[in-house]
Amino acid sequence: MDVQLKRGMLDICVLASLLQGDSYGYMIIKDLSPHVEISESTLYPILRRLEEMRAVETYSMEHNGRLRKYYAITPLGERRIRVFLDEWKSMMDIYTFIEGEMRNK
Amino acid sequence: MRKNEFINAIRGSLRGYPHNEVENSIEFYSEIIDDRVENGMTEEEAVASLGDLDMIIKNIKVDMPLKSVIKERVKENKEERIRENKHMSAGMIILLILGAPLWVPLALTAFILFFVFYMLLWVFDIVIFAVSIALAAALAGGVIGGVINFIAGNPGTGIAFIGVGIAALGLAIFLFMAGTGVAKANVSLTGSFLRGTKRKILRA
Repeated sequence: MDVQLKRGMLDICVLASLLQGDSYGYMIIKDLSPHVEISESTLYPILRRLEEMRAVETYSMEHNGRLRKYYAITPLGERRIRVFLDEWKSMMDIYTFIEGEMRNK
Repeated sequence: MRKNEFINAIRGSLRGYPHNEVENSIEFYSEIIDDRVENGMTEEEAVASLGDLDMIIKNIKVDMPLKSVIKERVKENKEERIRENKHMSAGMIILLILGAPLWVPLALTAFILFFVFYMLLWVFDIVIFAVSIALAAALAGGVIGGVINFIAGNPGTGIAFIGVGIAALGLAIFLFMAGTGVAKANVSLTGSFLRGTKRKILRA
């Protein structure tokens, strides 16, 4: 798959994993791994980038005597997901058309 | 590898990079190691599960914001010069000044050449779009000319006018698509050039 495309997809996957509630590094990977292949060294830059563009916010909470960094999705992050879904809706329409033409060949 | 060794290895390889960027990434990985251990892995297993250390270090480097890296480099250079009391030698300064009539125009020419070449890429694209718009306008001309000829009682010429107009529209659509393709290629070329430059500066 196109690198740029895949990178954009992973951003959205990470954002989506925060929709049901705030999460942290280990949990995000655990939640995503049944659906997409994502490693820690891939996740870290994504979280950083999302934080930079204010699609997520972070805060630290104590857990077992150490700090754990939590990530929360912002309204801006939710908007990015919505835009992604709209874009892929039209992509899917094109896909269906191409597939149909191929089948009726 | 134990967690401590892992962290020290990262810190060691990223000496000279912005301190808080390095610590942030270490915090991230160390938190994941702790969580893995909490969920039943041994420390060694948790570190191993993160994958290749060199790859991790490289990724941290590539992803660092360029601005903070450059700031750090400048600071580092300054400190080094103060520490070693190193200044540019007098000979070097004289050479730079005397050589200025030579290297300044050369550097400027190189920069302008590059800039002009880059502008040409876009000018080429703009020309394609301009021709495409002109051809689309020709459709309107063809239709109007055709109608006038019909009214004037020359249906043959009228049809010819409209036909030429429609042909022009076809060509306009084709050129528009070509123009879009060129624009996309330009954008991706710009992107890979910028990424390449960043990688050079980051020494990654």
